[in-house]
Amino acid sequence: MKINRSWIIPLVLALVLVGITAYWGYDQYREKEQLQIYMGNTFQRSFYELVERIEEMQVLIGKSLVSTSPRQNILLLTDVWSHANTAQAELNRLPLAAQTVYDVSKFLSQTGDFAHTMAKQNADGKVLTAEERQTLSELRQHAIRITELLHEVENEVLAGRVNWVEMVKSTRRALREEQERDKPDINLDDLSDDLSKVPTLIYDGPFSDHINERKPEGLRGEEVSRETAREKVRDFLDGVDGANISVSEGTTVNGRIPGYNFQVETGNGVYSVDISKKGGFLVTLINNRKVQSGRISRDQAVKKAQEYLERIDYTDMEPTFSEIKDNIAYISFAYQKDDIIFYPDIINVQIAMDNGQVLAVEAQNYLMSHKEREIKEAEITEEEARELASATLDEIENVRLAVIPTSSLREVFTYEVRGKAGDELYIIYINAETGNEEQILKVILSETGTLAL
Amino acid sequence: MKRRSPYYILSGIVLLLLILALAVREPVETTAAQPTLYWGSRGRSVSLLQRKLASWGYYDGRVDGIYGSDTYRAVVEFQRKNRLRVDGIVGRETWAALGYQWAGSRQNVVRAATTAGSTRSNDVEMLARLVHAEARAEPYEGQVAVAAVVLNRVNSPSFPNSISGVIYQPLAFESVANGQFNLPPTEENYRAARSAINGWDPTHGALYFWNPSKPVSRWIWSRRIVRRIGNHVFGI
Repeated sequence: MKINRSWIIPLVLALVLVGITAYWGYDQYREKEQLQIYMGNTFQRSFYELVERIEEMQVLIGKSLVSTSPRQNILLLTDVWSHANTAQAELNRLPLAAQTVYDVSKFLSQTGDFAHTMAKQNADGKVLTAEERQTLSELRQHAIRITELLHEVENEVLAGRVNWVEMVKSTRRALREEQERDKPDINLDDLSDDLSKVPTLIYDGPFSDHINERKPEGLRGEEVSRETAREKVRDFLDGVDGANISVSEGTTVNGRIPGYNFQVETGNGVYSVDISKKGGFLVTLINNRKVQSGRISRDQAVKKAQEYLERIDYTDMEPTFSEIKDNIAYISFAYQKDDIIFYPDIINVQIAMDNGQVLAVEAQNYLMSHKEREIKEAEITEEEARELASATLDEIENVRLAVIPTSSLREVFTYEVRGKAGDELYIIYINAETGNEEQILKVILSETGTLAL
Repeated sequence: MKRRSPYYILSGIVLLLLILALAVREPVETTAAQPTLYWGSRGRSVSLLQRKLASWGYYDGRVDGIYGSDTYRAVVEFQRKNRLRVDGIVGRETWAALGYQWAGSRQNVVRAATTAGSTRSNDVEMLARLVHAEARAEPYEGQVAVAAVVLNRVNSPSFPNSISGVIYQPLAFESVANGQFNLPPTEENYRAARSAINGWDPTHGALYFWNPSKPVSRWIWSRRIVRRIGNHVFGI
């Protein structure tokens, strides 16, 4: 009997162990299950929100097309914009692959943006043209088509054939195994086909198709060969021992500004230098050197950057902004001519605060937009601009003429009025031809620099 | 009875070990190394907290370096008065309101703005984290490039229109899905993020980057390639 008893205890112990493990396993399973349900619900909520917003959007566009009052039209179109934005955000919360949502996302952004632009035009007293109404009506047809397809997906989800959480897993699995999935995530392929028929949308908004189709305007001169560009690299370096550098053979850059890239090893950091094919301009320069200490002043850094820009033939550039972070000064320059500052033509420079070396240059904005411009005489006087701004500003510090880019990169000729409202610093841009307020920036001053929002 | 007792002791030990093992299996708190204080915390930072709260009249208990019920009440009171999240946990915001820096944050992370304004420090922080997670082994230029891709997406109609929207888009970045994104970035990552925010874009408008030596969806190769930096290919 005694011998028998001695194995009872290990047996009980083993059973207890099995029991605990089973309980633990079940607990883990349940927890995972709950999280999955939670995740699934979150995705499903986004999905419903998406469907609802697109439906709403479509109805609102319809209303705006029959409305005859500009005031009503502004409200309706602004609502279209808001619903489109939410729909776009919700769509991008769903676990769908980038290529699946790419076109629908774009459609929603553009439709909202287009509606917003039309609302602004209405506010300016411009009635929609027949063409613009036609575009709105076409966009509406696509929205209706999307809603139909989404309802099909909804049925799939309700029938349990589409499971968002499973979709996350299978997409990640497919990615790992380097294969396309047999079936697309959800049936949005028809949608992409349908949306490829959406006309190219050119209008005065940030998502207009003209933005991506821009060509550089600031490039002058002949096409240079890679060898010629390679010889120019040294001219763009600053603060390095000329005898001690090696320049790579160079590779082609296939971007908005076609060019060559050279990697330059020096005693003072590794440079990456982009030079444009046309004219051999410096496009981008980046040095990876670490900067451990700050010895020079902000003014010295700004002066250094300005001299450098002049040396490489970016002349008439005026500093507009500077910030010092981790011993590096970030300085922004804008082109200035005849006392007018041109904010589209921006060049950014980074200066190392230990020895004043130019660490980085970014001239893409300048090269994309710089051109000879014909500036008309301002219709309103500086006094009038002051008058307009002083209605809300307590104190005006400075007024000057400026050309600013709108969100759609259109250029507007304005008066730049800097002033204070209470303790807060603002910059108001007043259209020099119409007297309309074009833009307002809030300026935040800190120890490190100024920030304009 | 006496003969059985060793078994009970043994089984007790085994049970204890098992429970310990299970406890260890729980995910390790990533904030464990940071002096976030909560009920049960001990040490010098708790004393500091108590002294500070006492000097401002929230706490009247002993300064003993033990976060107990009195300290908890004082912290909650302090959080309520200062319109912080009332949770009794002394993290970044509460430390900031007390005039100290949260050691969990990095030295050069911009503190929450004290004036009515925005420092946009979130943007730099999120970008730097993504740079660290996706490109920490890449050359500096490649790090700026990854941050620039995020910003190019924000400006593209086909992607979410905010930095957080782009970064947290499901299935967009593997490193966000697997938690690498939550690791603290280095000095270099911050600088890369800051350069991108200040306008540097070595990718010339690219919306995608991928490592050709790793499995990627075939679709990605249909994009127009701008250039290659380090191990990444950048495309529009």
